[in-house]
Amino acid sequence: MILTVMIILGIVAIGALGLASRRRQHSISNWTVGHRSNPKWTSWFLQAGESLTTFSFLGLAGIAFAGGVSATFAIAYLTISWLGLYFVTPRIRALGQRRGYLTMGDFFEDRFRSRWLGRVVAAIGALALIPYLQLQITGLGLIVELATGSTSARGLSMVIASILVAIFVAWSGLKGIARVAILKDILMVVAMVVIASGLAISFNGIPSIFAKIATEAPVLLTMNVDGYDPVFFVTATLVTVIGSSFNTLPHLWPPVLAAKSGQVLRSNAKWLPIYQLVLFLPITVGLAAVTVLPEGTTGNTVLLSMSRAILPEWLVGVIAIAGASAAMVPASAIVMGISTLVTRNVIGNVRPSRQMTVNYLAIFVAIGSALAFGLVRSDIGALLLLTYGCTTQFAPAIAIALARRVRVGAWPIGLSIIVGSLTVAVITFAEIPIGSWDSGLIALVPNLLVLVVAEGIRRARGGEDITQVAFDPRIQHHTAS
Amino acid sequence: MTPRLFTPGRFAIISVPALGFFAIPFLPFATTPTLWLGMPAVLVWSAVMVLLSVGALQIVEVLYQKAGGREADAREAERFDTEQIEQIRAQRIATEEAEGIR
Repeated sequence: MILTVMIILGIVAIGALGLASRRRQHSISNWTVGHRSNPKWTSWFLQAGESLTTFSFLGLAGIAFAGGVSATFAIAYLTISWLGLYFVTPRIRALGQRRGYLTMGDFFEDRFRSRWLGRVVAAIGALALIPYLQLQITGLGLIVELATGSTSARGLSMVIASILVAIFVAWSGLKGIARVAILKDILMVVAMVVIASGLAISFNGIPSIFAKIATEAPVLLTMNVDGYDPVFFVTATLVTVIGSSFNTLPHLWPPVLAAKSGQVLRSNAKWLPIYQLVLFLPITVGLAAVTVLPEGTTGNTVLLSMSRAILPEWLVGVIAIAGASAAMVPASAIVMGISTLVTRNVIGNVRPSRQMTVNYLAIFVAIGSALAFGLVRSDIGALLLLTYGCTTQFAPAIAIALARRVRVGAWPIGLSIIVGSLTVAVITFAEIPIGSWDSGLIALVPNLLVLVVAEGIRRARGGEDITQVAFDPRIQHHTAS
Repeated sequence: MTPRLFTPGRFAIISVPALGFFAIPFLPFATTPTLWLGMPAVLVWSAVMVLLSVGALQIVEVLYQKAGGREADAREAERFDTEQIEQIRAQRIATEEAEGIR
């Protein structure tokens, strides 16, 4: 009971930190990107949000428990993504600054000069983010349940955290998310160090864990584990790198657009790979768990089960609060991503005075539906593949639109995204067996085929490059790019 | 004219650690259980690739700065505030609609 109270108080404190702003944001642009002047460290913590999430907390240790060192695919894709983002994010920010983007939908609308394309991309993006939002809320509930052993604490924590996220995001916007993101990363690193120390004490040093694995389950030190073979490693890494390098997840756009300069984004991309070294700790926990927990243990429960086995109760509480923050920060960014896409692009043409009202409505509908699905324990594991699979289909189009001249028309782009997304949906819902391959990677084939054929037809009918409209004499020299 | 950030030469530099990651499953230490200094060889190799990625990006940044990036960063300091950008966007959309190109 004391542990439950401690964790709930921790969640409330995280929400209160997000709310700690004197004034409510009244304009959707300030709410989403502030003054577009975020300095290095604010941008750092906002951008690092995707590195340390509930997946790092629950999923990665579970994959290491079942698949051994193949879990390093997460370190591989997150690191390689920064190699791509170093080039991509400054360009997105520069275009956003000149052309007034708040969302990925704005980018598509402007670069391809097509409102319907911005609407289609925004609708697919917003729908694809809902399972990801639910995953964060469900993950938070699972962390609390595993730490306390109480099912009622699970539901209560999910409801409280969802309400707090909705309120602080609505009130403070990106500024509130940034404040909580700083706390989250500090808590996550503390939690990982605590767990690592616990392991080192329990096993007489970290190397002895691996020596034990080498004798008891040596296959886990290789990439020959069933289901976690080289095909899994290469395809899972490749598809995520394609998606992440082009920033295809819509909720990751506001931190990029809000950065003070391209230099800030380049500087962060140069150093953020270092953050991935923290992920070696959950992987080590997952491997250590092989020697402690029963074979059939559910993957997602491994890290907290190990924590309960080796740490005192109050430290388990600290780790659970860190886990809760790892769910609340991505959840708040996702909620913002969905609401801005809906308000700005899907509905569009909303009077400025009404935009925030529509935005609030979108926030509460998005988080309310994700919470409702989470409380009835709907299995969204398969649907989560839609999040990555569908948003990866934006990658070719973003690559084309980042060029100085946009040479492909809106129709070929829209058609290729729709075909790619539908392919992912068919593979997911019809449960078509694809082995260790990733549905998003497979769907890129029809996506690119349609893109090439449709653009060929457009060109044959006299279609030309997209020319951008010069709209401000002070920055006229930029508009050709 | 803004200098190009992405060039084939810089792409080649960052490809080294990227290929180092993608090669992992096919390297000998990933197919047989191997420990280096008491740590799984795959983890050690991955850590080295993370550090190599940081190093590769430092080199790319230096090359960009020398190729005019420093001046471009200084020019970028002249910025509009958010409300100004919103007005500019509204003007642009109005112009595009008036010209019938949206």
